[in-house]
Amino acid sequence: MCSISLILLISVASFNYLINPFSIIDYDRIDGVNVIKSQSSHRIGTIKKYQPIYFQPKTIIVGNSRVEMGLEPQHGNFGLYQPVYNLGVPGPAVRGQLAYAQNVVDNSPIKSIILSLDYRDFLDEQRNEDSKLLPLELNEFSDKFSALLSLDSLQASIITILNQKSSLPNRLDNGFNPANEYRDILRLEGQDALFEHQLKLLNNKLKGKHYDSTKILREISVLDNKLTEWLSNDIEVMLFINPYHQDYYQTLENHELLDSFNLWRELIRTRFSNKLKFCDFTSLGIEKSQDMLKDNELKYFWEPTHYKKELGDIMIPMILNGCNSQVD
Amino acid sequence: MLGSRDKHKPALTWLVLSSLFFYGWWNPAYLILIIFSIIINYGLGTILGNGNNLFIRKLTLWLGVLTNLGFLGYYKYSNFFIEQINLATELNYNFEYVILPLAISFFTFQQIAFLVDSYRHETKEYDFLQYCLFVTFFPQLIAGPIVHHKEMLPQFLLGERFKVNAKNIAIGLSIFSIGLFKKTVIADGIAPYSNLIFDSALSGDPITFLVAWGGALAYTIQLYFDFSGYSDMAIGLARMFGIILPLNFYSPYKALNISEFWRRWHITLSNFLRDYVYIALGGNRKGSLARYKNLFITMFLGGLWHGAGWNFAIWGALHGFYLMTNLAWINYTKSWSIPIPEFLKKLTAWGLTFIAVVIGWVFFRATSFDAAITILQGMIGMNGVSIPNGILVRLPFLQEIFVTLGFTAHLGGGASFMYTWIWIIVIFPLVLILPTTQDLFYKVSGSLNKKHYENSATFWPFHSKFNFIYWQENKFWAVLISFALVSGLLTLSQVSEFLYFQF
Repeated sequence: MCSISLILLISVASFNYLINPFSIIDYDRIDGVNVIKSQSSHRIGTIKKYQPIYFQPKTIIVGNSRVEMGLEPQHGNFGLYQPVYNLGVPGPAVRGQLAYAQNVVDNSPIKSIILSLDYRDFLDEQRNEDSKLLPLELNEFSDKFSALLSLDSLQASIITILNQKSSLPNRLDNGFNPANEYRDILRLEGQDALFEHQLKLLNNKLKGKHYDSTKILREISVLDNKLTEWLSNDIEVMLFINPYHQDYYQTLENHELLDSFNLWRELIRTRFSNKLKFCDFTSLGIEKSQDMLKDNELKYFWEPTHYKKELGDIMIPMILNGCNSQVD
Repeated sequence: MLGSRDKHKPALTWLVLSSLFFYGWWNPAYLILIIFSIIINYGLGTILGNGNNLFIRKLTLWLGVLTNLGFLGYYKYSNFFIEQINLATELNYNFEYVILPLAISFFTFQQIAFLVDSYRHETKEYDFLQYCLFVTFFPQLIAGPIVHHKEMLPQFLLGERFKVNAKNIAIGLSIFSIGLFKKTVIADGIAPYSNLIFDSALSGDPITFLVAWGGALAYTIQLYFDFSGYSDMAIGLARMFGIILPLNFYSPYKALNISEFWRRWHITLSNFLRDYVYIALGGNRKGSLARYKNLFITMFLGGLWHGAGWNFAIWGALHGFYLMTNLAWINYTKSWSIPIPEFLKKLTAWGLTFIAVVIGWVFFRATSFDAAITILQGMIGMNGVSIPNGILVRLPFLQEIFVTLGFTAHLGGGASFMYTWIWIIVIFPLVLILPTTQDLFYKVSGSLNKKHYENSATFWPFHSKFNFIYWQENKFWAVLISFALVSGLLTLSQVSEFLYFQF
């Protein structure tokens, strides 16, 4: 029984190593086997700890799921900034995003950091009452062990090898999320359904949230400390506030958070616009959200909180040049 | 090793110390509690076993039972009690939150049974070390089975039990592996889907018919495999040390009536409640009305044993009501002769019993009364029938039928809806059709119980297709068990806990 169990365990580990569904092992994708990694989203936090280190970027795009599917690292304007890695990670608030960025700074020859800011990330509960930034926990052995020897990985490997259609959800080696899951919903259910569902989720998330100036100032101070540290290490930092569809701003207003959102923007602008390249895309979002284009699809937004690559393509040159005021 | 005259004493000592270390790993402070409880109960048990003065023995028994219940009451119910007083009186008594010590419900009941058995001269303990092992034996310490001293003592006295025995290791490891698979692959696999629906009910979302049934059935399956898996793992672990534990779980969802269900679900607790509560209350000796009352009280207390909360009380009361109804039905229909086929009779009886059990589990799982009611409202269709839009648009050929039937579409939750029902459709038939671990290991005395392939008062489709399968030491079983073990091992990087640990 021991030998049979051992053979089974080795077989599972070898299979998971070959398929590498979560890109936790460093080797190239194989055509027809694992080019599309449809299960990536299940361990995206772990993927974005290791993949950027293998990628060795000079520039990272830091933020949450908005930049992950909005800013394309292959954009033509990046030129000398290449290689660019999209470090957008769904989930973590400001400190978490900074910790992910610091992990890459510590392990790659980073020259530039593009950092996106989201009001909601400042509203989320922060466990730490102080201004310390905890480093990202890297348990390489345990992460790799569980990537090779776990039932989740085995299931993900099987699904990955069976699902190699280019239309399926995926994460590219440069960290970009091509938003195929949204394309699929749009194709089958339409943008109205996606909008309605996401607005419902947004309403639930904003329920009971309030502007806590002490907490927000503390988080801005954590951010400031980290940016100062990067700047002092000759890393260029570019900062921007994400654009949103107008329905998002309406929802903020419904929750009586729009005034505090504007206050937060002002705090960010006064604190950072003089010391680094800064863009506030709030108005860009409002303007572009009017653009309902062909096939009943918005050109620039998937839903109220996530913008498309098409809007990101407009934003990238502005971010690189710096706006230092609100973009109209 | 420890200078004992008995050859197996070092093994006993080692097992007791290991078990205490295992218990203390969670919170060393509570080691004092369990050791104190062991010393008190051993002392009282010795008086009960040796004494002849009936008055002193009675007094000792009462003292023992009340001391045990006092500890259990303080640790398990004081938070709930204070909360209820504060709610009722709108006062705000400040009371330090009492943390429930691990396994207190189990070791308390086990020791109460020991005291009563000692009082009845059904068992006697001379050796403190053996008594310690009886209470602390780690495979069953945390969540049962609740063992009787008279079942364990003869096994502790047999020296060869503690010697390494390849056959015991093979049997124990096989039973353990099956349990590990049930718990980590099936119960933990389906758990996220039931959690999602019960959490949604807790947050006040209206739950529609198919979603509500999906959540209730997913939890029904989760709890089954969680507890069944745990019980197998306890029996398997104990067997590796040469100890055979009593059967605790025997395919309860096959039961044709609620009495049969309780003969198969948490068997050792049911036996305890029957022997030390129901019979102590008078059982069926004081007339039929008293019997109904005793059944209800026993189940109500059984519900409260599971936790200090109104939902557990309702669940217990509900099962008390079920048992009363069942008894009344048997009494009033004795002479009836209903001309319907036996299979249909069985199917109806099974269906009613199963639905009653599922309704009970809704209260058992929901963390608030309102959440339970939300799920139940969904289950009776009060919020309509809807299917996730993402699924509906992928099934154009069914759209017309769904519309005709009055089904609607809701946004989001398509993947979890689909996986919930895939789990239910794949796993539930296996619960009804496949034999249990007890059946498979009957020939090698998997447990202290002699049941095997028992299908009286059960709905067991294809019983005859399986009732010859027994575990054997051969390559086929080695491959099968290795598969279960490896699948279980592959889940060890995930965090998981047994549902019954909370009791």
